[in-house]
Amino acid sequence: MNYTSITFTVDPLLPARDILLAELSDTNAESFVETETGLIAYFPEEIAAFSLEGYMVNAMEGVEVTFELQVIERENWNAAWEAAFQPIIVSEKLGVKAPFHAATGCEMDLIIQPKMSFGTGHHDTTWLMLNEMLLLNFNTKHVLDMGSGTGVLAILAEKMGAIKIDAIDIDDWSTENCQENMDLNACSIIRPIQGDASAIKANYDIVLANINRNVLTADMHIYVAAMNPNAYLLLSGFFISDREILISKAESLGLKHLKSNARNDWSCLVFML
Amino acid sequence: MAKEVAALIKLQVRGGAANPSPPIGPALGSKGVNIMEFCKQFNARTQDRPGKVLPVVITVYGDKSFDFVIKTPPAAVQLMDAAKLKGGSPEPNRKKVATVSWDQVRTIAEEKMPDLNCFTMESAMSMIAGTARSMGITIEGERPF
Repeated sequence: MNYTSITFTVDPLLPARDILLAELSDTNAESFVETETGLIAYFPEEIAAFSLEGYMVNAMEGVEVTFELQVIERENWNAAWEAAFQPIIVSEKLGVKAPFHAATGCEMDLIIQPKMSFGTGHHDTTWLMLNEMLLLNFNTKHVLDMGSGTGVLAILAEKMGAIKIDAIDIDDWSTENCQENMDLNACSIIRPIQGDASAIKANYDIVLANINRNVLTADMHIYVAAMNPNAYLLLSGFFISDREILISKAESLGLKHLKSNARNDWSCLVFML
Repeated sequence: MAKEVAALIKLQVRGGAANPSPPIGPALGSKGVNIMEFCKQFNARTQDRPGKVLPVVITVYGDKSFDFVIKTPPAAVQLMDAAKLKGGSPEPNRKKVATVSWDQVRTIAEEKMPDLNCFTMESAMSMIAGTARSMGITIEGERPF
């Protein structure tokens, strides 16, 4: 998806710049950068024309506002970090490395080209999920990876013997990146799907969801509805301080809390239906 | 020894909604920071204020590690919230579209005090009140100072 930046010049700067920012916070602008002469607003779409008609700043006496639009092409902004990323050792059984790294010496290496998707094992939550997955039996299991990012968890599930894997992510960049990583790891059964929890159409033995507290609490009932009897649910993407909220939500949906794990401030929970 | 600071990046990002697109992507990516790591942390720390525009100051260190401080929303954004205003009045001097109380002005001033160049609560409140008037927001009641 391409973005559009609108660079506003505001004279005199204050308080008009702050008011303009407040007004733009009512639009679909995602983020802003304050400059010495005004403001840059970033929109998640290609915008051909923009008007300040109806904006307060436009009617403020003695205030002049001009602006310029620029479409920003989609690009892998994470390239600099990726070029230097270090392999991750989850345990002696499992390493995660980029295509340009030598083997880690672990029993199994997953090869991940991260691009701009979540999930390299560098983040504590991915590490925690990979670590918990190593303790489960994936042989002949049906697996759902919600918020799949790079596809790293789905790829491990296939390597551990799962026979049906759906990898759902809301971000189009991620579904593309998941396919790329499947190819790097010679995986063939994962189905990358773009969408949210409404894209869940099957039942599973193991559901993996490393997203965030708000999405997990909002969508957990949909995951549970898609779980076979005795299925496992592995959750991460939230702080230790949010653990109780997720456990009580899960218990209210009939899940049994089996295990909590943590690394730095981040938490991982294991449930069973 | 304190770590060497490579860059200070100031952005305004919606709570719970950081993603690797511009401006976060290019701003952090050009410094070699793992953008996804920042997004995940920012979103987890701001999940109770989803969609709110929040100023964030990111410090990038020489070893490409980073930390960040989240500030309170800009005064004008808070005033729009307090006045339950959408988009504001196009004619600030002629048509008063909304009101806030001096108590609300004080609350915003207290929150924003660390970010304002003000030494007293009165001057901070005056500054917030000035912004409110520019936005066509009337402040109800007796000026308390």
